[in-house]
Amino acid sequence: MADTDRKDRAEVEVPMGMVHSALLEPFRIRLFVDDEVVVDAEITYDTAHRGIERIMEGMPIQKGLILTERICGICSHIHIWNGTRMVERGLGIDVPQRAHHIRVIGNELERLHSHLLYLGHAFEILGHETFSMRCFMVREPVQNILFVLSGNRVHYTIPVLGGIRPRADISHEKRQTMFSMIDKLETDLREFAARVLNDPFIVSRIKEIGYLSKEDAVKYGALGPNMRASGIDFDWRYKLPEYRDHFDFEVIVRDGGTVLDRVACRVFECLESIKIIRQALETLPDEDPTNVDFELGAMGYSTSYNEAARGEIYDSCALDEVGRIRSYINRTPSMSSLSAMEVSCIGDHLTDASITIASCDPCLTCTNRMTVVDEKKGTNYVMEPEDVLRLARRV
Amino acid sequence: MLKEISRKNAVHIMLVYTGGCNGCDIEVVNAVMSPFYDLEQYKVMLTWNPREADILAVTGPVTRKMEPALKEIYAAIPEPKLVAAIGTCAIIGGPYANLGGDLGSSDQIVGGVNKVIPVDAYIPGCPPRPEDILQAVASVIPILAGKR
Amino acid sequence: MMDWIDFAITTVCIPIVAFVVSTWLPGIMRKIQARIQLRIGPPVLTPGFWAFFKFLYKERIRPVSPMPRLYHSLPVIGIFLMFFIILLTTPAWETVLTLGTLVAIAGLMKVEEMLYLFMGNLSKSILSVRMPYPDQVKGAVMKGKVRRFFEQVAVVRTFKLISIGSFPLYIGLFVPAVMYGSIGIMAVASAQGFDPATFVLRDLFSLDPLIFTVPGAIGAIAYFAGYLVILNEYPFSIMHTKADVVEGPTLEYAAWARAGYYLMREVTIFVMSSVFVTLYFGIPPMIGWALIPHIILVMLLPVGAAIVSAFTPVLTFKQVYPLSLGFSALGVIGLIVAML
Repeated sequence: MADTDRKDRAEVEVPMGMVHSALLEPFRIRLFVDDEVVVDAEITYDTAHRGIERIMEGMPIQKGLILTERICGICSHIHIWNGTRMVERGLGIDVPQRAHHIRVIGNELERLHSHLLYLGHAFEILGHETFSMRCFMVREPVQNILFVLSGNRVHYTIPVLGGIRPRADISHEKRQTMFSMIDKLETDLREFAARVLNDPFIVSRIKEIGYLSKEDAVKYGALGPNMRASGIDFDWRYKLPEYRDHFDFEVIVRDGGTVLDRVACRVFECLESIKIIRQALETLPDEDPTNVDFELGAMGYSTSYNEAARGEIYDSCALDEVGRIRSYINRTPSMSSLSAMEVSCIGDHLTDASITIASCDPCLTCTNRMTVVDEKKGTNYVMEPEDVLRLARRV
Repeated sequence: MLKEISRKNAVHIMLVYTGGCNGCDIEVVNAVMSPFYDLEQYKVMLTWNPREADILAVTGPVTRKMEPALKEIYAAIPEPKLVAAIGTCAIIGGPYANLGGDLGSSDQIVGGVNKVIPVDAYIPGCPPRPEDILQAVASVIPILAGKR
Repeated sequence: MMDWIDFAITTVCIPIVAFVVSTWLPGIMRKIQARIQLRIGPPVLTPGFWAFFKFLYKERIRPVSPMPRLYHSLPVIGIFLMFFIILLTTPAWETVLTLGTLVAIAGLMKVEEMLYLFMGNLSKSILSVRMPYPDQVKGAVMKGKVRRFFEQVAVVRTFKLISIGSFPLYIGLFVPAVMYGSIGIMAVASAQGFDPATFVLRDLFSLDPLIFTVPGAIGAIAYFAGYLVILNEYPFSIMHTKADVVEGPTLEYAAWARAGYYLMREVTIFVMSSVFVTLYFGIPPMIGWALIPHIILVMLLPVGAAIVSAFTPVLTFKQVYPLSLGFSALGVIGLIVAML
């Protein structure tokens, strides 16, 4: 039977969410099933919309940058780094190489903890509580390293315009501590990765489900590890001078496009991240990490791309003459990755569909920022379906 | 007598994320799921079913879309029940309710959890450390036991 | 006359024993899993015993269900069914009623499984369709005549599990019958050397348990697989899987009804294991010395289930069907060996 036939035949809808054990964040999934096989899916994510771009309008840029960190608690460093990087690019601020190194360390640690959280969550969805627990056991040292580095476990706030915050500077003792912690982490992680990727039950659950072909990955815009697991070799880290010129690492690309590939891709990326962190700690230049010699002022439209744990992140804004934010835009990878998952979960069993959707590592709090500006009233609001209806009637 | 002892000895906690930044969520998950902190050794078990829950742990500012859902979930929990608001956003709405540029603070969120449902425990922090969450949960259990 | 007194004592005491022991079992299982997960885990009494009493003292609410009273009565029916099964295997009932056959147990087990079908159809929880969210609006995908609750998805799965998943259990149940040529439970026990009238602890070592024979060992493996399916333990917890249906048919149970559900589950863990001990070790539950080795041996299956479930994820039907059929085939081999 052709696939399109089944798509039309869907008679049963199973809605999931917004409060659900498989979803760490509030969003709504509607799965259309034939028996228990998913034939169509709709993922709606507007429940976590908080209007952060809107409240940043007209805020001093330093304050706004800290607020970008509150877009997401998992990928907090990349938001503030990319925002800072964008402003530095726009205003032409020189950043010392030491600061770049420490920012990279922050980003790679964040990638580690994000990927490990992803794995822990994935095992929880698979129903394998033991591996989930062990994953969190491996993850906890990463949080401790971040705590040692920056003094906070979740919102570390390492970058500041022109460099890094003094508390996140890496002294000699801190460096030694981090080295020893990373050695321990690497042994644990390798052991765990070998155990997981060779477990017959786990592999039988996640192989051959959630297939995303290379064409679909391009068409629906899967990003980051989801894209690389489908065989597309692209990573912003290859293009950024912070990474490209100083570190030697591999980008993991797999051809399978299934959930297993997406999981394996992240496991191997973790090991690459450890490699980068170690290189950065070894080659840390000895200089003042912060350049305070710059003037804030009017800035035209500036942009910056970067590679977050989930894929490409994009920030752009302009500054007015006293350094206040004008039209901040932030685009995160989960939005297009999720729409790719809408396609890839078709044909799976219902239980497999939830792991497929989770396998793109959706980060909804990053994603929910679409607003409509009503110029007459001067207010913003999320486009509710009722509003769409009303607009449609008006026209 | 048996009532108090049994309530102290078995507590079910349910987590609801109402649209926060995930920071509190992962720390709560850390507290509940990671063997490092392991909430279960304090006789607190995780559930995803409001009918089973005793404590509702809410993180994040309540967004407009989540408000009715949160109310319904709260209504579904049988008495006695407690609500713990975890993190600054859940307490006062965090930066979204209190910071703003030209356009003022965000109107996409209702505010703290206490504007929607009554809250019994506030756990401040951005995000609170897992130790704080453990301590707070452990300290509200006597309140739960003392309820009617 | 003595028979009737014995009958009355057994009828009262065995369910009490079952209740007391079974409240420990979830805690023991949880503790084992927790230790495997490198953590301390809850105290042994918490998940079974205290949780049961806590739910008894919660506010009684009306479940969202088309037939609330029937819905609430189902766990009670389940508990009584389970007590009935364990009483059928006692020697005291055997002498008076002579009902204790494997066919009776298999039939009652089927009813027990069917209860989940009713539960699922009668439950309408908040977590799926009733969640206040504007789903069917302009711009959304508009297809599907039926909006299905999680519970009803779980019902479909229960049905599949009833038809295929619990095969190994029933085959495991009938290996002793083929081996000893009788469907009477006391006949099976006495064929293994058990005599209820004269049993003392010393006789334990003169028994000739079925499990130490080749067909018995094979049958025991099949029974264990079926035991996991009946309990909906990992890896066969597809009906209760957290990944999509959260808890399945039991979502709407609250307060005393949830206490009832907890007890039903605990007693199921106990009774199914008790039947195993009666059939494969030849020690039936009775008021007397035989109760002590019986209860110790009853711990075997839950402990095994806890260890297996700690190392397995939820399996979907893609894996459940072959696994279940494989274990059934194993059981059939056991049957054939028993016949030879």
